[in-house]
Amino acid sequence: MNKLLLVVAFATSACAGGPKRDIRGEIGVKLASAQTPIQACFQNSLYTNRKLRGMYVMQMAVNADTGEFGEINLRRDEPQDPVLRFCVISVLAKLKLDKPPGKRVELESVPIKFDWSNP
Amino acid sequence: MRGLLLGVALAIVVGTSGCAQLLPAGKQAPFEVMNVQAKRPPPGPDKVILTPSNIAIIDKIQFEVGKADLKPISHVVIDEVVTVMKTNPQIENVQVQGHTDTDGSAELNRKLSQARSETVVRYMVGKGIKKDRLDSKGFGPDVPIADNAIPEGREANRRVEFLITKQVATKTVVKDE
Repeated sequence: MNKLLLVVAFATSACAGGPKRDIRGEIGVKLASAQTPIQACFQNSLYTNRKLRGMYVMQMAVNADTGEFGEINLRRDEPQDPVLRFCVISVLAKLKLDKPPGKRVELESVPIKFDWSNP
Repeated sequence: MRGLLLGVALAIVVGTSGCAQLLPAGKQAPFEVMNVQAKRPPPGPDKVILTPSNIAIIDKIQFEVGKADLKPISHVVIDEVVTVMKTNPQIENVQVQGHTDTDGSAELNRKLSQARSETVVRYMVGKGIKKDRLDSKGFGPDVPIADNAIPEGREANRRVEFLITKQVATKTVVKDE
């Protein structure tokens, strides 16, 4: 019994003292890294449709074993442009966490706002 | 011994589940809004815009259905591309790219898009662009820019693009004071 308590105590203390993984933070960093290619998508689409602007609210999931972003859906699509939509989804589908999360992570709401930098 | 095994098993469970901080299932705070800004091109009647990497066209270049024959309505937009190339001699080479949607045989689509891009090149050469400034390539359905599962996506994928493949850097002359 003493041994059992010792092992459990060791495991919990090691866990508490070890580095905690901030999955949400890691996902946030990966999403932020997509900003430049997404901006390129928007710029290209603006050349052919200068009225484009608005909000995307995206939903996606991170694969438990690979850390890859997938199952990307648009819950809200204000720009309504098929080329922009395809380009942004392609960019996000290339994202991958450095380490797999171990459990499937669902992202319910990832907002992206598209706007003009000049009037 | 049994207690020890039980303890190790428990430690593994605690160690693997407790340490990882996963997003809670159910209600979840949205991520911070990603603000994406880009420069809006100026308004105007231009059908053609020169970008750093390509000559973007607003109107679509149209062909007869299933053929490589240009519809006369598309001459205007190609004429504007010709004008852009004439007024921008730093553009040394443009690849005229033909693309299709995924309807039909991929191989036939590749051939059709190749024939269509060659038609556009011939037209541009006929309008005074040197042949060595132009290349043609048909990609068929291989490079989609929109989802082929929806009609507007297929429409966007049927396209001709003018990609700048070679250009000399423009020199900036700074006058001495």
